[in-house]
Amino acid sequence: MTELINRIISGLSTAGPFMRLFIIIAIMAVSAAIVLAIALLYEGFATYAERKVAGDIQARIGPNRVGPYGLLQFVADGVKLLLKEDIIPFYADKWLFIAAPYIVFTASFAAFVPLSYSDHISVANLNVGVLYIIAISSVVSMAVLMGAWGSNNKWSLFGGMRAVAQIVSYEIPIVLSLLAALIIPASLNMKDIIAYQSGGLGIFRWLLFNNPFTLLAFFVYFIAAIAEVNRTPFDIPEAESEIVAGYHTEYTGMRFAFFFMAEYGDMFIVSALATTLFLGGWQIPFIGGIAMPLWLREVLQAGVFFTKIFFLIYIMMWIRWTLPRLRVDQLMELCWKYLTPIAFFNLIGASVWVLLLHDRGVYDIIAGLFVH
Amino acid sequence: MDSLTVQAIFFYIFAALIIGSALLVVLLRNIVRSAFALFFTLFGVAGIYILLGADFVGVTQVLIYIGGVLILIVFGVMLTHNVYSVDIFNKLGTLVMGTVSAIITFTIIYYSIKPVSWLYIGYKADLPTTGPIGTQLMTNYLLPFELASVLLVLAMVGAAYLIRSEVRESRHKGAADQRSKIQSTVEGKGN
Repeated sequence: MTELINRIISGLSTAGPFMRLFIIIAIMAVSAAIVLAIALLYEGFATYAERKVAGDIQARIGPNRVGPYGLLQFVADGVKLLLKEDIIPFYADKWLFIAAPYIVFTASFAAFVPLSYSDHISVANLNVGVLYIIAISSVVSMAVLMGAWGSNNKWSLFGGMRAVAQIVSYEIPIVLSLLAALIIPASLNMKDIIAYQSGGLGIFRWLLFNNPFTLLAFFVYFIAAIAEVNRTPFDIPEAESEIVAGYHTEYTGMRFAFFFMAEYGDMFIVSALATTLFLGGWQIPFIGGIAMPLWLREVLQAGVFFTKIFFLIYIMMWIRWTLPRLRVDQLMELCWKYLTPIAFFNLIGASVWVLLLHDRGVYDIIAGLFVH
Repeated sequence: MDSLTVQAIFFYIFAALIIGSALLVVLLRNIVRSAFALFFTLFGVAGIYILLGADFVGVTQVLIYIGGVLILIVFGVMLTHNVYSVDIFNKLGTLVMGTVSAIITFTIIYYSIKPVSWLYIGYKADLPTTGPIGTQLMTNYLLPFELASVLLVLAMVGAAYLIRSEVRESRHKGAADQRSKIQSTVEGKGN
């Protein structure tokens, strides 16, 4: 595998311009296809997991007919959605109506690109990785508005307006709490941030434990992130008891599925950001210092990364099936009167901590006591 | 020069995207569609920035112009009356004014770009740009940076004040209404 990549790179420097363009586009297409396959497989199993978790919490069995333990339920769902009639409302703005699901899904999928899955596995190691994810996620709100307007339906429009108001509001506590963690490794590069959290048995140097402010910032981030991906208790954009299904009321079949998959993709992205920034990313806990072959290390690291993400997604599902939905005014009150001031306080506190203690976290200070 | 050719191909793709969608913004009859066509223009500009190795500026372009400004524009357009029957694009006066302002803008940009002796520093997308930008903002350009933040704070205070005065009035009004209502019912019962 490494030899193949080396041969491609050496071929790149000798090939002609159009061959180079072809090779570059081929590399892009192959890596995009791999990430898309991972994303779609995850999204399929996430819908299954959601129903199983819901079943457990409501003392039901959940899907158990298709395949062993109902594991292939998502395949059946996919076939069903593909075969459904594709309805475009007569008075809809057809261009916007058709374009919106594609842009939502593309933006959600594009956020998978800068993630660092293990020490050597990442599609693009961007210098501005964290900022890129925040920026590309803001395209989602624009596309939701596009679909909501294009449907020419009052429920859709209300849902779209609510979604945008919610996403724009909750972006502030999210970015501020991310910033409270980011000033410690002083980098926007995913790999650098994870490398900073190495050592301390792979656990104690997590930015989560770096200082009290980052600990608080993690919880502010996680609450705001649940609102950012429009999940219960913050799912007022698609509150079925008030506005049918919100911005995707008029969508059927695969077009609806694109919105649905984008929601699950966003769950993965916010959990991956939380894992990278606060929970040490792919650092293997306890046995990370033991010598082991490269492939085993990479597999273990990717396994640790995905385990942390799936744990956070499980918590999101748990919250969804436990708590009731907030009202619109309560939602805005939570964001502007509680989360934003706490996030500002965190940012100032973390900055003062970094300035006074010169980048040393709680673990470094305690470890320093025993060394000297 | 090979990498230049590849870069040139990508440049023409982005330039075609920018010009095509900008023409749509101007020529489409439906103003909401124009606003959404602006999305592709702004996205193309971000692509050009990233092609030039300015990754931070490119990402910030997406974050601020698409995530902020464009959404505000779309909200503004949606709140206008008779969205489907806007025919401002047909008036000849707009055409003349538009041509004149386009020529003036082009002249200003052309003569401010032309005298600069640009040097090609090569493809340096791998180098981080965030650090140098931050250092420059905190040292050489501290005053403009702080002035911009003062401007933003003023805008926020203004927005908060506008909303607050309305709420205060309506609350006073609502309380007064309720008080008179209670009084009248009490009096009614008393009688």
